[in-house]
Amino acid sequence: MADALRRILLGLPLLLLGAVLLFSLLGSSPVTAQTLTRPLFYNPAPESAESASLEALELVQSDLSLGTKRLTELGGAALPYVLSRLGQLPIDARRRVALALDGVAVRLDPTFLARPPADADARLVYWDRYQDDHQLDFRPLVVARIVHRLGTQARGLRAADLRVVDTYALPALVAEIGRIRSRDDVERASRLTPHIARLTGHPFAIEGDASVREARQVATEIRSLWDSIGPRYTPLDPVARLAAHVTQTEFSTWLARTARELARIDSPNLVERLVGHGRLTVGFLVSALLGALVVGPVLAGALELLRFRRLRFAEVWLPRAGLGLTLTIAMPTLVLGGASNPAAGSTISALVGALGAAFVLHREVMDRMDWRSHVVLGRRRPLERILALGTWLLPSLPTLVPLLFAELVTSVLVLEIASNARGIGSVTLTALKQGDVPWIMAVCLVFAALTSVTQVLADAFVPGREQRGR
Amino acid sequence: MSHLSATLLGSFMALVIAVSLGLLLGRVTLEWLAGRGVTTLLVESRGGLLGVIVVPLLVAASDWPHWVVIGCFVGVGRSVALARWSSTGASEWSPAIRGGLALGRSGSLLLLRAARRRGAVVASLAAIPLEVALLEGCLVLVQDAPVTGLGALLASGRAEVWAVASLVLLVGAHEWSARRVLRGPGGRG
Repeated sequence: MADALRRILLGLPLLLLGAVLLFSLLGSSPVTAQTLTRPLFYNPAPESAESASLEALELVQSDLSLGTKRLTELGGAALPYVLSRLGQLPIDARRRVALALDGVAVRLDPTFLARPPADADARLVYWDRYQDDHQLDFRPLVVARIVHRLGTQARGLRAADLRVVDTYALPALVAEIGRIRSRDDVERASRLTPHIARLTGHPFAIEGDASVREARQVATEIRSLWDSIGPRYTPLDPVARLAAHVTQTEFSTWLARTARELARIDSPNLVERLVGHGRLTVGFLVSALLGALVVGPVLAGALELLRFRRLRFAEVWLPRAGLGLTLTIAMPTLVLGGASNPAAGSTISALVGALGAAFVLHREVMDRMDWRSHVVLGRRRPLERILALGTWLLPSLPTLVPLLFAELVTSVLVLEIASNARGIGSVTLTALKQGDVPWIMAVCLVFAALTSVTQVLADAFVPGREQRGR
Repeated sequence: MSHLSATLLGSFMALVIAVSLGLLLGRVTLEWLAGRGVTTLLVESRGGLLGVIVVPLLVAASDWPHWVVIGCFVGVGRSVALARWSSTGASEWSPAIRGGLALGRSGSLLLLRAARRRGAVVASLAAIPLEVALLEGCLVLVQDAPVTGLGALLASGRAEVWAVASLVLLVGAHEWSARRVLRGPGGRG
């Protein structure tokens, strides 16, 4: 038990290592690389509200229309950095920035364009006053408090407070959604979602009578969007900036999403897909394992018992060549030919498992049959012979099964793809073509974990002497 | 490149890698490190790196011909199997091995290796062409680009008798080669 626990605990870092390896492979493949926008494991230039604002500020000087667009997208999140640097710019550059901030002003005050300041200098005065009036509002704690109150009480006043800081409140708004498990959580999320939708320009909405599941799905979509756009709205302190070199990477984003999904913070979309498509795959896999564990040893034993019939030709060549021939013809032709229905798929899987196991066991038994046969031949009754042979065959199974498991998984997935069956294999095929990284990672890690479990279970049957080595 | 030569080259490459790397891993497990921890780790890693996923990705990511990728992948996978089997002691040793060990022959270590599960090792190596064919077929189903190999023929439904017969001969040749390579002083070839 202690050994199994130790093995399971050791399996976790192994899974992480496997995930890193697989992720680097996915990053180097052209199809999947298209869907990955950030560096895989280390981001030399992490994004923050400050870096995005300063970048937009530079853009304003080189291309006013593009810079205006960028600043408008950033909204209130850019103001603390842009306004604090205005004074350091030459007067012409300052005027360009003041003009470029029109879009932000409209976000803060929709009536801005109804009576806009007369010229660039008047706009500078407007922003100067704005900074004086709202300097204290642009503080994370203040915003977090406003957002928390907005989430707990539906008050129009809070919404007006929020409009003053605009997108500066987005990190707090997304964080405040939190975990959705009850009606109270749904109501909280439904009060916050319209503000997030307005600030991001995405049509997120949670109706008042939405179920927990529906609300959680919307929250998942918001967090998924936040994973990609969040950094440019988030102020980073020095420690967070240091951590962002690692956290703002594709691998960390995937890890965070997976953790959220496993912790049931996000909707378990991937898990549901895996379970939904996994039924067929598990059915095929169980058939293959049953074939390997039950039919395989019986077949190997039966073929070996044939040799005691003292038929010269059959003694050596018939069992050896016959089994090899059957496996060689049956395995690739049946698997790659596909199956017309699930029952046929299960039969093919069982056959492949049985033949695969029998092939290995038979070769193993044959290798020492010349000197070991007297033990079996010494038994007169057929049942005793079978038992004698069984005690000889079965110790190989704990080593065989985990090794065969990976091969059976491959053949089952290929069988599904060839059969066009809606199992994990077919979805994986689509994922490979579309670069669906989360699905590919999930499939690999699930099967790695299953192999580990199979290995632990199989090793429970290995004698202690053997486990220690030598 | 013809279908037969693609499978032939892939299988041969896998066999060479499996034997060389597998024997090395087996030796490391047997002589340098106590226990089956290394091979356990390798078997578990192998379970996560599924050929259905890894091979198409590697083929897309590298400029190597697909038979090289398949050969390397199958070879490394089979070397793990080889190391695992060769680090698993047989339930009993043959009289020749016991006699050799009792006499303290200089080749005791080799005898010990022969005492391991050689039949299973041979079977693992013999099945290499089957895995190669399976992955070739998988590549045909996953990729739009043309793929050569006996497995590709089978997957595209254009298999002829000669293709299946070639596969049978390949498996036979692999088993024969494996028996030759792994012939130990205390056992049969």
